[in-house]
Amino acid sequence: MDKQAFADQIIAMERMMYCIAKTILSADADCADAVQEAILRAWKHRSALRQERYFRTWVTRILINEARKIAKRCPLETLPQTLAWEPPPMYGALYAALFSLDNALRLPIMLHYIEGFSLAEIASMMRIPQGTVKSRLHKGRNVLMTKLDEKEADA
Amino acid sequence: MKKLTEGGLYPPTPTVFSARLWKTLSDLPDESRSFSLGRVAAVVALALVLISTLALATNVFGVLDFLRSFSAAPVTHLDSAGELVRQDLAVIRRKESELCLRNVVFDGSRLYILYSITDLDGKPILDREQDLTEQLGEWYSITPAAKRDGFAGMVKVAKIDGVETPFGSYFFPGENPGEMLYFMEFDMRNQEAGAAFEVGLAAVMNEDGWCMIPDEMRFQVTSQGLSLNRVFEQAGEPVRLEGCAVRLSRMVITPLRAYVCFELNFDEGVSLQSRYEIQREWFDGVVTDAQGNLLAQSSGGGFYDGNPRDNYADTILLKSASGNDVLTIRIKEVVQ
Repeated sequence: MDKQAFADQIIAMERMMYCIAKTILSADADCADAVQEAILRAWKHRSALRQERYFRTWVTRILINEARKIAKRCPLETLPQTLAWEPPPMYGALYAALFSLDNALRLPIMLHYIEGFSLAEIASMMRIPQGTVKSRLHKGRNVLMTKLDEKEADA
Repeated sequence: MKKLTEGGLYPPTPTVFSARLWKTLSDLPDESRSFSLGRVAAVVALALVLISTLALATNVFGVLDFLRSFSAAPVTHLDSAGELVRQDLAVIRRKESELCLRNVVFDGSRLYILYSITDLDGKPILDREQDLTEQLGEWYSITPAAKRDGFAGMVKVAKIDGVETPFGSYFFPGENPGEMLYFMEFDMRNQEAGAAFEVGLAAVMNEDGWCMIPDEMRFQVTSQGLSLNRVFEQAGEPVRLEGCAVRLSRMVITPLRAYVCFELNFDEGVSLQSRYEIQREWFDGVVTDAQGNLLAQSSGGGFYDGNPRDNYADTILLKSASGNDVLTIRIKEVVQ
């Protein structure tokens, strides 16, 4: 993969990479650090990627690792509970519920329902068993639904 | 729950984030050597001949031999390059395999390591009569010895002063049956390591599959030999271009390589896209002497490198990637 093709793919993933970093890290500067490290690592080791169709999965896995490394240096209470962004009205309640989820549930939910990654891909990215991904999705869905129901009842 | 679509779900990325992403992509280093398997297979036959020949002469195939024989462009070193080579730092035997840390070479900008892993069964790892690409592809991850709880196929993780550091790697059959040689290259130009630093190499897997760094694979790299380096800087003001100024940040001549680094200082208000295009033009060119003889080629991010010379005149030329523009830069040596 040449530099231009690599850059094009990364640019296409910009918003997704920010969102994934933001599910793990609080500060935008930390997200930028994680993405920078992930890009450099991916570029350096691109020959290890045997099939380019897995590029997105592969880079996401690297990004999650880098973000987690940075998160280990942060106290737990600084993990993001909200985005400094006003989502479109139709998704406002969903985002509020999503960012109130525990981080272990939030990331698989985002990767699966927003990004469309398969269970196997998420298991590979997060280095957890596929069954764990499945159970976290199940639990995450239930928590989300409860929170959304409560919100609707309040309204 | 239905799958959500991307439209409208992602927040816009903050400026600080976008700027860093663009800069990172703009500064991606070129790699003058590709470490892919295909490349290994292409040169491995040559290497086998070279290694056999050199083995007779010196009995050891080292980092300098590797750099001279495996690089795409001809590589020459100064006579003093041998003073940078540290030899035979460690030999570790584990089960039926042996790891020998043969050479460590540090010139202040790059760190090179050459080690071998030998399956003590002594069986040839590759059949030199068969297709090497296919064999290396199948063999890539682990040696036969490692399957019996020996060494992993190669160093998986390297730490410099305790920080995991990426590296380029390359491997090829050694002189002896059952022996593989591994070459590692670290770009240390952006590292924050001091004049002396510790390197740790993880090449052993424990029962849980985690790579471990045995004590024998931790060693100190010192500034030994760095006094041989010569440093040049720009004489006079940066060269003005539309939207930015170009400055020779530094030019370091080591016994191994000539490293030239340029900086671009953008004027306020220049867009990210324009910055990217200017960088591509001026960070992907070549550096020559006043007569047009090649001094260094781009390795990305404003870094250039080439073969070192004993003598430099007071002027170098920076040629743009398109070849349409040339900057004349006067240099002066910094007395160390």
